[in-house]
Amino acid sequence: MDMYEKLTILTDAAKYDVACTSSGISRGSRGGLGTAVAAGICHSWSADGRCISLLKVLFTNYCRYDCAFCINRKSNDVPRAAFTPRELADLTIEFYRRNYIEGLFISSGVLKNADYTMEQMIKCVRILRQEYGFNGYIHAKAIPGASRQLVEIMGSLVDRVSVNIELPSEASLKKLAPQKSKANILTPMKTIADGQAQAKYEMVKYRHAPRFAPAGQSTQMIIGASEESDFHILRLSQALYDKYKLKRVFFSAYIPLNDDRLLPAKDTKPPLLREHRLYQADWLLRFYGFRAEEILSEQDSMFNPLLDPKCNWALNNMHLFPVEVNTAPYEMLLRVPGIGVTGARRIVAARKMAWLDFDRLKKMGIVLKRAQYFIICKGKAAQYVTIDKEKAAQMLISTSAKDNFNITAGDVTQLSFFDTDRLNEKYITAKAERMVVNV
Amino acid sequence: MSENQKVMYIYDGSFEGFLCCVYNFYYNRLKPAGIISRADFTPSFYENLMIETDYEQVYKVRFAIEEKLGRRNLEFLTGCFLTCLEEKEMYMLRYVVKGFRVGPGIINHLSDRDVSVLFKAHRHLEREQHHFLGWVRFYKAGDVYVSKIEPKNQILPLIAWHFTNRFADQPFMIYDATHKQALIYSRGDYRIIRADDIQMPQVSEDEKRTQQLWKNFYDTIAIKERYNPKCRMNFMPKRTWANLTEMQDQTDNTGREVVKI
Repeated sequence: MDMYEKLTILTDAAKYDVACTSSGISRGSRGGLGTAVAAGICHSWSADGRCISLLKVLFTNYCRYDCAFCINRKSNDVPRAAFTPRELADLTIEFYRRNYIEGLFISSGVLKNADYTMEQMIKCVRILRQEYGFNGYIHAKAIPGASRQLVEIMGSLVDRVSVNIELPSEASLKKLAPQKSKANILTPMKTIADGQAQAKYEMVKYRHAPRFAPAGQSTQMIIGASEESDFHILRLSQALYDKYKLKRVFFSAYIPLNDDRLLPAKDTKPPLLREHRLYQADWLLRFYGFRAEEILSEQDSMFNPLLDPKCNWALNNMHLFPVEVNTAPYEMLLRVPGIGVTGARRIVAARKMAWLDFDRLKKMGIVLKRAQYFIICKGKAAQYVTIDKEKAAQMLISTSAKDNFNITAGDVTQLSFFDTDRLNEKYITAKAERMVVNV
Repeated sequence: MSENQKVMYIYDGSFEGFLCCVYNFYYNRLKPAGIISRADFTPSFYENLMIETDYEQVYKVRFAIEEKLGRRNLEFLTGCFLTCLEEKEMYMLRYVVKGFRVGPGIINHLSDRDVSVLFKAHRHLEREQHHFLGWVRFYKAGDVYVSKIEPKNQILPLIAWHFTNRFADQPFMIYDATHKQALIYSRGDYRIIRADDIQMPQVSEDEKRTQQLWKNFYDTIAIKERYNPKCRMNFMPKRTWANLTEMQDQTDNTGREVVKI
């Protein structure tokens, strides 16, 4: 098999992995090839609008496991291939020298057993790091069930290690990925977290202490293949951030690849809106000081498809608004829909120099489209705006959302906003209708 | 010449030249109708004032800015000078004048028009600078890796550090076709030269094979169920495609023509 074909098969098999970030670590040149930039660099964007930063391939797509949702499961009849460690290392270098990529993202199907697979991956990474002196970014997946020593070796060689949690609950895991278990996913996760904690501790004591997966660990789970609620997923992510100090949790909308009675029907559309809402909420957890329990609750466990989580939260907590831009603390500014970290910081800096009014906010680049319903300047609301929950809600639902859901302006006030089940239903029928038209 | 008459400042187009304009504004008390570089000069109704770059003046103005407005503002202004903002020199002059009145805090005076215009232009520069860290595409010609880019702002001086560090062991050239400049690096030493007419070398057969692998990777990595060309265009505008290897039309493995959409 030539390289062209191999690369096609193993890229095709890896494309459902979400993470492609190269951020979190800054490393200068060592005179040879490669550096790492803390902010991460995107090199290209593929036709689905996802960024390409790393050479994302599987080491092999031969797999002993038979996970229901996976394209590479044992029982699927797909073309199989495997790189040799050197082939993959050489390809990475060739791409890197042309500035196509920021580094390598290596994952793999399970050959023979978890340990053997990890050893092969480590071989490839060793060639890159030790033989070629490659100093760029490497993200490796730890194979669930691999031994502790191997995970530790991997962690000492690469920038980021991650273990996929795959599904948001143990029950779904048992059902859809019977050969994986909560224990053999969480154990390597723990090993990585421990390794990092120890490296951090040693760093304080010894200046040249070796670093361990300095860009942190991440994980990903599939949304919509099993029945967990958004609230459940969000709380799980929060726990992962708290407990294992994860850098990122990625969500991947389920794309039906296999016909399986345990899975949603094959013509199901990937739940892209749901994935989008989860990411929005994930940002609120990581950068805006929100807790999962504030965003959703046991009773209200699904996201509102019409409103982003922050708007939804604000409308439910109207008693905290409006906020006076000139005096409000930074934390409160952050909670205003439409104002983000950059905006809030800019306001805090600029209000030291002059009183801010709406014109000035605009000049500073603060987008008032959503924010205007929640803020006042020098005691006054924006022109023609009254601070009112119902009106704000009407304005915040974008026209495109109204189109999507077949909702007329009159409908908005009648519909209970938080009746998400009905909205979801409406969304699905509307989408189905449009699909019929398209056909 | 009366007190209020405006004149057209004409300088050599360098940042140092601009600093001399600032010096002249303070010491000759002539209001500028505009500040243009010699290269862009077109006759106008205004009288012209030729500004010669004098390093004593440069030193004085630079020192004054650093002393009174701080390093951050000096860096901000140096950056602004690389932007593609129209009449940037006038905005910058007004910024300096206001700055001397307000102090180092001028940079936070975002509700002021001159400051916010410069701030936006500077942000545009910074973003473009960051984007091009990813968008430069080299190909190998002999022992040298070459690349052509067409940015809106003059980003070469800003990205030089990144590329010379990252590719410390490979000689390379990045040609900025918009501003006719080239960054040349070899063995730990780099310089940016004026390059009015550069013929990019041919892509060799060997190189084509590597490019083919990359294009193939690019096409395969997209999930077709999630096809979203608008989203891609937001991140990677069409004007950049001309210089991106993966966005060139190509023939696939079987020799069939694949047209990029």
